[in-house]
Amino acid sequence: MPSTDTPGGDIITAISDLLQERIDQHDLEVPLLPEVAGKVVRLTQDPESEAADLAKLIQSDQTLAGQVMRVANSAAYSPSNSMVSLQQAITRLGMKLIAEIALSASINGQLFNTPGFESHVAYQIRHSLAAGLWAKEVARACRKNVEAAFLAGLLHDIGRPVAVQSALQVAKKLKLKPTKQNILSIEDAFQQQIGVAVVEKWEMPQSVCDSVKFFHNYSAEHGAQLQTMIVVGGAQVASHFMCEEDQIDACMTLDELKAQPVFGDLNLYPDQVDQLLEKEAQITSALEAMAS
Amino acid sequence: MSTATYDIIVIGSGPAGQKAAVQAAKLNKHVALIERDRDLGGSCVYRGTIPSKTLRENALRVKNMRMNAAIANFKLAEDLELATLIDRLDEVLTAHDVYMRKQMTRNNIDIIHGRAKFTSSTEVEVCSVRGEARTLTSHHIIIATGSYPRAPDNVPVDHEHIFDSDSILSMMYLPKSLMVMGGGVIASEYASIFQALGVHVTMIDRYPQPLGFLDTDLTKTFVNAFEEMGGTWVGNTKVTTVHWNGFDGVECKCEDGSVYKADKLLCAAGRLANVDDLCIENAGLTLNDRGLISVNADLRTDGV
Repeated sequence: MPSTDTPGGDIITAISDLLQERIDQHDLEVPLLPEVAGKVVRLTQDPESEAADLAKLIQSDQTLAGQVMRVANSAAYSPSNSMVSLQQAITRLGMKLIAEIALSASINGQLFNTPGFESHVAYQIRHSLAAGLWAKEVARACRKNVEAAFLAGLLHDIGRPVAVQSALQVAKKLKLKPTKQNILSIEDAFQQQIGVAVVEKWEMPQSVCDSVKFFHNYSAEHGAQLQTMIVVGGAQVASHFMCEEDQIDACMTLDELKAQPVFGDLNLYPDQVDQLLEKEAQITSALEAMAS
Repeated sequence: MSTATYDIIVIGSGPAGQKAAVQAAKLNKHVALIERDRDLGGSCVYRGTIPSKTLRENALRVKNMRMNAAIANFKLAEDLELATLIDRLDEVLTAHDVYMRKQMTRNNIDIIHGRAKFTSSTEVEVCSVRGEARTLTSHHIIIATGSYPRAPDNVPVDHEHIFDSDSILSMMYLPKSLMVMGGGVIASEYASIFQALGVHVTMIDRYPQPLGFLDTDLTKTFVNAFEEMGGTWVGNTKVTTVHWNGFDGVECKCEDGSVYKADKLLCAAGRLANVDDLCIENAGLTLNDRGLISVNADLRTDGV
């Protein structure tokens, strides 16, 4: 629970109490993952699925198809900018990557109703995307679980925007007027348990649910421990490279990043972490293409 | 930087290093065992022998159930996660780690987690995973660092579509098809395990038969059993390029113009000595033509 000693402590308490009640009663309003995105995730997990199925699925959502084509034709993925059909894009970029692009495009700011917090939510989503991309590279460096890392990284803090949305809804119901800081404080306190509720509701693979659940306590024994560590590593690299100029004092320096315990826990030696971080340009380029 | 002196330093905690360390300790020697991984046991325990045998046990069960399909109507779930097929692995590995640590403690062996490099023939610098260094000295240093998978220049192993034998078991799901490059023990073992699990496996190798060090009647028996399960053996075929086609599989082009395709590829093209980080030249050692450290009949480097 957030501290009640801060300004607006009573408001925070009132909102937190009702929010907790809703979580306990499984009465939290979780945004619906666009149907097509849920199907994309399931399709890519089905070994019998074919590229044509994926193309058909994405084409069923015009907006999504347009976004996928835009990203597929971006400099990061297609320097010649020559792809004209979704089928061609899948042929060129592969089912997995197209599915990742489609899922990222589905999880955007419009999925959440957070008036006044749009830029904050947009930043969180961009951070999640960067965490997913970096998690894949951490996994590759560890020679483990590359396939699963992106999805787990993308969704590791999905609880944040939903926590903001839920806190705003509860405040409205209680006719309270929390400050921005109050909401952010509630977001910090509830994002983890709300994140678990979201990925469970979205029927994500168990390993993804575990990574969300244990993200802040990866040393606790759980089935997807290695994957969770990979996601934590990816999220930390993402945090470092996404540091905004006005927050520079609060950001991790490169040395602080390299000294993060998770890299040692993943048994990545300093030179291996250096090699990992050399992928910055490649990841930034992919991030720009997918997030813009 | 701290310094410590030992009677014997063992680099690597695989089966060879473990036995050497324990035997030395039983002879009342003061022993340090250096291991770069977090857990003791080496590739054999974590990436090779034990994981593959765990998968093999389940593959045999699946194969037996398939043979009884008429009465059991058995079919493997399409979305079966690979982790399910090696479900007991964590239990086995934890038990092994506990056993080894107890054994080391009981024998007063100092376990040192870090990467070793020679600074002279009697001195080793150990750098921890957090970057801290310490120096160990001894007149007897055992190199038992094992090996890692060889990745030929024409095979871009990415651990996502194209795997080596250390990463193959990190696949999330069983693929529909798998190409296995190589015809050695590792290639043959994984090819037959995945085929028994219902994956369509194609083994490709430059030699006419797999497992060339065995008698011909044995290799014939292996190939027959593999093909009876539905696998394909392609011998006398040299692979020229391998690439993920960016669409639906990995393509393998061969010198004779043939092209093979599968969902995933396992490159099992031998293993190389794990000596890259050791700086053996500082100990006055060199690698021979096979990339190995030459030793005499007593497995010593002296005078070789």
